[in-house]
Amino acid sequence: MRVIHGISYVGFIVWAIITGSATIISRLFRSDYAQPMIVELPMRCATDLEVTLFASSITITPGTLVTAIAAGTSTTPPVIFVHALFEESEESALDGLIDMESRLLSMTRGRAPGPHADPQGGRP
Amino acid sequence: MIVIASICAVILAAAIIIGLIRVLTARDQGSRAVVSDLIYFSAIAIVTMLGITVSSSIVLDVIFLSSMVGILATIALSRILTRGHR
Amino acid sequence: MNEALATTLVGIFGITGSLLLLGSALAMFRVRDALSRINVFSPATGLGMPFIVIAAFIYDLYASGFSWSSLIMAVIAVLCLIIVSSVASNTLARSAVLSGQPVFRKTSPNRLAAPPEGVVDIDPDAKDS
Repeated sequence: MRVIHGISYVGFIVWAIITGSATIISRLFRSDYAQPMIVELPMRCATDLEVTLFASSITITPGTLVTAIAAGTSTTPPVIFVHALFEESEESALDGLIDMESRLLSMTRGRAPGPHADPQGGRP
Repeated sequence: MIVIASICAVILAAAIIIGLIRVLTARDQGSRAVVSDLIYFSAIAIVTMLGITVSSSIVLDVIFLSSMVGILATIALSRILTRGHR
Repeated sequence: MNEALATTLVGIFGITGSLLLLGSALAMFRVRDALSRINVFSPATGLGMPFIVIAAFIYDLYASGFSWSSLIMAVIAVLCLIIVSSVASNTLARSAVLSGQPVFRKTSPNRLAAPPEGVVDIDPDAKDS
């Protein structure tokens, strides 16, 4: 089961690289090129391996980039700060990241993780 | 084959020249660090195309070794940006 | 593998990879700050350089025949390019933020500018006056 999740995750990353590169190249001659934003996501990843894999997956996808990772404490989860270029709003950027994180945790833990506690980080 | 490799080399040289213009017009140090990465990878690709042009037998070895040590220049530049702090 | 097929495949992969590198170089003119430039550089290392590696592998296949060592070498080169460029971009972005490079003023929302919710951001060593 874990192997199937791993293969589907690798395919997902390859497809994300191809579509993201096509986005960057095809928007090159439009007048409104990009809308940069830095969003904040409390992670469900717990171990060092999961955090490292998640940060590398975000960075290798064209259009998103990890700028900083804040370490978690005993009560708060670790927080990741992502620089996104081609998203319409903060909600759509966070939805893409949560989808990728769910696929990653299905691969490392062998089962689907629980729903995200508070995707907005307590913000209105 | 030689014609194809020459076309690729010309495109990559254009990428390097555009990057150098970007270095001239950039105002902050971070942009210059990124452009150095672009120039490194373009130079590796040009060396590969040169190897195809002269029918060399170590084309794959060149790109294999240089893809593994490509991180060193970037790490050194990021240490320079932060003045030695990690 | 005959010469026409090898030339066609090397041409497709080589020219596509070169155009991706050129596109990344052009995209650096369309964005305004260092973080966005690190961001738009990832098509070059994530897709352009693997295409160049595939072109070199096809040329090697045409010139000296199939061998397992060159196949393993090409696969390791592609994996190294993807993993190494990802880690390098992380490090460069982190040092760009830490060294205070300017961020484009229309970056919105910018969650790095304010501390996260619930975090007390007071320097305990500061003298209270």
